[in-house]
Amino acid sequence: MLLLISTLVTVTVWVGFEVYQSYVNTQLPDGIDRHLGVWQPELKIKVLDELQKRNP
Amino acid sequence: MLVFSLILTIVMLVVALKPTLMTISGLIGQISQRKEVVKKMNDKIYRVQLATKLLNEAEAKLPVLDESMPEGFVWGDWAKKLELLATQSGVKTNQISVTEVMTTKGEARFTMSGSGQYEQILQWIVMLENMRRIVIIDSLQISSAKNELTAMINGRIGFETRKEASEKTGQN
Repeated sequence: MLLLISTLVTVTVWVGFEVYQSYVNTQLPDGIDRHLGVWQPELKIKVLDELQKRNP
Repeated sequence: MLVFSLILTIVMLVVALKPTLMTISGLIGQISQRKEVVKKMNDKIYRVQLATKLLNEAEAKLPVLDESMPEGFVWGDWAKKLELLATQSGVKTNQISVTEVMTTKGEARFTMSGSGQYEQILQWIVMLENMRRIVIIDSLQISSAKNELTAMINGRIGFETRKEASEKTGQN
């Protein structure tokens, strides 16, 4: 009886761990990471203005 | 009876419940990841829209950038501009030579000499530095002969390499 109870506890913990692992280890489709890079849209208009002031 | 129930629970837990729970948790994990991806994509779309807006606003000014750093050396255009500068400043151009072209670096070294009066030489150099096409003067030697001065300029001129240009257009 004691053996069965301890087996149940162990199996429950094991199942819980496996479920957690399958939640954590989900992977994104290949190649999607390179589309997720963050960049700052910035255009240095001041530089263009300065260039425009120069002799053509 | 209790022993049988316990055994059945353990068996059911391993055979039926575990795979089901694993599938459910895997799907929940995928959903939360996809939500994160959608959030990042929306942020990126917003940034792309902002970049497009900025680009449209500055569109009229962009040709100046091609003039300053053209794609490839564009020798003819550069030579014409130098001639124009010499004419405007009154300096007689004696020699223009490109000594080294570093295609990978997008830079070319040149040597140029011109002769004229002090003011003309000064104006020539100022105009050269203020050219829209970016020119870096590394050294300047002025010598006097007869009634006029001769200036010898060593400098560098920049251009955009084709590789850089294709990278720039291929960026996501």
